[in-house]
Amino acid sequence: MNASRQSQAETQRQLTILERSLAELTQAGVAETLLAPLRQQVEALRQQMADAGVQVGRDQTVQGDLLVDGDKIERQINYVRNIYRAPAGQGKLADAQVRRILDAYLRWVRDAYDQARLFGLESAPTARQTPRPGLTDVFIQLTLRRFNPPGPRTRGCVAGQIRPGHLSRLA
Amino acid sequence: MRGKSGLDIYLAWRELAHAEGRIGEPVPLADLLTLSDRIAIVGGAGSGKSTVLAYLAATLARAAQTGESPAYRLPGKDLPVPLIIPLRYYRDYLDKCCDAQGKQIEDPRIGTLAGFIPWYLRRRNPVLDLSEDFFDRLLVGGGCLLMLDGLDEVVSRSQRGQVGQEVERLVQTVYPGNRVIVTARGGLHR
Repeated sequence: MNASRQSQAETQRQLTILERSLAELTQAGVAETLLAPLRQQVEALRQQMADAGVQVGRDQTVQGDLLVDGDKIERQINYVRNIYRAPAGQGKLADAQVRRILDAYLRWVRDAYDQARLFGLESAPTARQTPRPGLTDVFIQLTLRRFNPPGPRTRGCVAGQIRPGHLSRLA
Repeated sequence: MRGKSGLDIYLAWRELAHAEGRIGEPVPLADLLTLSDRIAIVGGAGSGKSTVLAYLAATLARAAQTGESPAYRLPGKDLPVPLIIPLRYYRDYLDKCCDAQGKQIEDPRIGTLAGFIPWYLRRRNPVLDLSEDFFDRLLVGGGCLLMLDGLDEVVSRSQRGQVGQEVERLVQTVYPGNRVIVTARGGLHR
């Protein structure tokens, strides 16, 4: 990836962060006078991207010189690598580092969640001696019942019918 | 509709639908992730909502590491990165944020659900050598399966509508591009 493309990636990343902050602050009701400098910064970055001939949008990515194929962890990295490779204020992360971090995290997920919890069927003494089965080995696929979300008209009608009793049953 | 989240309205609508004898179309779990990129799983206590999330997380992690395909259909060719967030810890997070209100100027997400998610995941993973913003970057990048477990366990009853709205804003504005499953306890099964 050449310097120009790195710079574009960095600008895009800053723009994404600033736009997100701006949206959050606006929604939080922060006064416009306080937001003006942030808004100007966003516009300046947008202009910078436009001058460089880059279409500004959240999906804008910079295709790097990395072609990954092979295992599925690397396929996942396709989603996030542009953000990881040029983080603001930090050096570029090597792909191997990204892969290592994701791999460590996924290993932790397996350790943490792939455990069958046999409540009532085991006690502390027996659990120590009995190998615990993995959740993925004993899990039985369920059938759910699907309720499509109501449309806008139905939502309006239902919202008018919500009584405290409805929501209290969630408790 | 102010103060009522989409999930609140959905739950009320579902109760009305049930009262009218509509029981919903059966869907195998194997098709769950292909139904929509926004899914709410509603069921009674002990009906297996959290176990479903644990199963999805464990199988996705296993598939990523071993190449073994999960026993359910995926919405695309890429495996999503699983993130499970038990919302019952949100109260703890908000309490801690009360002591750090000045920092909200530096990061407007502090004290919100968007700030809670990376905070919780880093706390759950202290032994992993992760950068401060690892999970934030992961979610901004998209392609994750964000599983918010136990919306009904969040804070006080009066704040649930607000949190439900935060969930909607989170998935639409703050971290778009991710698949989201929310679980909540429904009133019908109790």
